[in-house]
Amino acid sequence: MKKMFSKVGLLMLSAVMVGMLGVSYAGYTDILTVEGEVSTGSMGFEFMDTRKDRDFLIGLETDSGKFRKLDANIDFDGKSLSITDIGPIDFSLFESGNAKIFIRYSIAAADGRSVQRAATIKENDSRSSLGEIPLELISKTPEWSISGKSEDESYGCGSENEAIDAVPQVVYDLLPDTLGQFRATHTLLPNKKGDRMEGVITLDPADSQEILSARKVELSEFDLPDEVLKEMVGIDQLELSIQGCYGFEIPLVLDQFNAGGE
Amino acid sequence: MKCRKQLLLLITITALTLGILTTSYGYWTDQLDVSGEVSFEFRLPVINDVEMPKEMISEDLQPDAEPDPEPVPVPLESEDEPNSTLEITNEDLLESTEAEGSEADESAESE
Repeated sequence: MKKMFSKVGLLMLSAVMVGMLGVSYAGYTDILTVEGEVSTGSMGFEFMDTRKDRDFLIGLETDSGKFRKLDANIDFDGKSLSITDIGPIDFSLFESGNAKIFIRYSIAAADGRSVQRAATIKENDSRSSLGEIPLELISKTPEWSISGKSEDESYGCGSENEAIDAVPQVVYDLLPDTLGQFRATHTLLPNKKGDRMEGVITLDPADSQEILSARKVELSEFDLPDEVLKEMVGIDQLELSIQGCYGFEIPLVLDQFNAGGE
Repeated sequence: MKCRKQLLLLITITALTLGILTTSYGYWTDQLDVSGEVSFEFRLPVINDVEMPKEMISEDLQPDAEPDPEPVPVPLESEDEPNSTLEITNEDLLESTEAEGSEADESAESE
């Protein structure tokens, strides 16, 4: 019994001593609580146009290296950029395979607290390739015209001619349903001020395009009224011009990996 | 039974892992869309294979020519129909001279 008491007493004594150590430690110290939140930073970019008609630009570079601005309607809403009525562009420029369509845009962070810069993409970067984008025919009424010249007069008829009621079926048949695949490349760099990022998308045909060059068309295929045909008598060098509308969609995936690095 | 439990556990863990990866990928990235419509012009030669009748072409080549005057009806001469002058007989002539003579007498009497 005496031996047992000594064991229990020793245990209680040690517990009291640990307690006293804790009290004395608290007496000599103080605890302050620090609460923090670690965040990776969310990404939310939107298309911006701070300099009217200058942040967005649609252009064409021909095989001779000349650059010209193209007419287009630009509409953007948050994360979607819609460019309509680009051109018309003479498709023969693409048959050599060296012409390119340029789309320049500008984006900025939608929220001041989110990441202000996305990772830069340079020309030689592996991320600059967006793959191949198909250009598909959009079901719109095509514009067409036939023009020609003889020794002493010139002649033209087409969509605007009142004597022709509808677009000839051969025009619909001639328009290709697709223009094939276009290579899309993308570069993205911060602007000089660093408050926005400017991107450039280029589209160039993946293969040499010879869509309509080999096709022969005869005037009788157009089923034109006699009063129109009468005026074409004696005109041998006739040329058909067709304008078709082709649509494309390009998804742009931005990331913040190495966003601040060069 | 034990195998089924392990399978369920594996599926749950895989689904959770994929969900976490997807969420974190979406958190680290952002996606924008660019869509466009380009109008392309194609040119190709047309062979003029239409042949018009000569009458249509000649009409077309003289658009300013004066219109033809209205056709004047020409009296037809036929054997069945006697000429109107031949219908006057000697009796008619006599009657007309008698009438002229009576008229002349009347005028003389009045004078």
